[in-house]
Amino acid sequence: MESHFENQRDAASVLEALSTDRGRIGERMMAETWWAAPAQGLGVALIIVAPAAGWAWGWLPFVLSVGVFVGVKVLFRKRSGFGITRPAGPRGLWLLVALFLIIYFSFVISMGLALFGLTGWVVAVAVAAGVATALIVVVYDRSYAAEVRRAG
Amino acid sequence: MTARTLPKCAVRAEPRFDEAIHAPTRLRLCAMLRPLADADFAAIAATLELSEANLSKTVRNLVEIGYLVTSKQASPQRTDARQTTTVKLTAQGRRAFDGHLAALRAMAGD
Repeated sequence: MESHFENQRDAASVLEALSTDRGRIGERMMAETWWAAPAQGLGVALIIVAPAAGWAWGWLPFVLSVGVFVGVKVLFRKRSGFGITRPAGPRGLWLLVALFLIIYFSFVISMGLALFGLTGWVVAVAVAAGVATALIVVVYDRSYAAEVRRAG
Repeated sequence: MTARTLPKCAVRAEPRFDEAIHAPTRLRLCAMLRPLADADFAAIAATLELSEANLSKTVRNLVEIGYLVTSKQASPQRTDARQTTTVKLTAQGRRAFDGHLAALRAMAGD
């Protein structure tokens, strides 16, 4: 194996070059954050606000939300040229878990508030969840850029 | 930044030097595709700053040994009849790359 390299430094320089290439993946991903983060925040806000729309129209925010998420996925793929389906490391995974919990509990709270007819509060929770989602997406993209450098 | 930014904990593969992907362009291509589900040919060329001819040849060679697969789709971005090529690492390619990366890390004393 050692015959492939003059010394230890050669192998280290190859690893560093690979890490630099990986860094460019992160840069391309972060270049899309400015629109993808607010769009996904909007998608989550639409889900959370759905109970306020009542039984008759509650489906509409859901459909719009699905449209937003599908649109983000398609547009991201088209603009970046990358298919990314999983986090690059543990920090990204934990951020996804946190995001799921925020969406889940926000929706449960929103349902409760809607049952008591507190529509204004449902909207407030939806806005808060949307802003939190956008911020987590920003942090997630930065984490991805850092973690993809050392991913397997 | 040093090579230590690629810690050994990220890969649990057995170190196994693979001649087939040791060439720089092949190794860089595999390293780029490893964390991705797939990538468009043009995006790979731009990210790795490779010519289309060079990348095309490298992709073809790695497809022949079963490390990559390609697929073509019609692209609304193109005005001509050419299709967008998508490149993906196979399970065999992932194993080979992980083993090779582990070997490199072992050699670098990482």
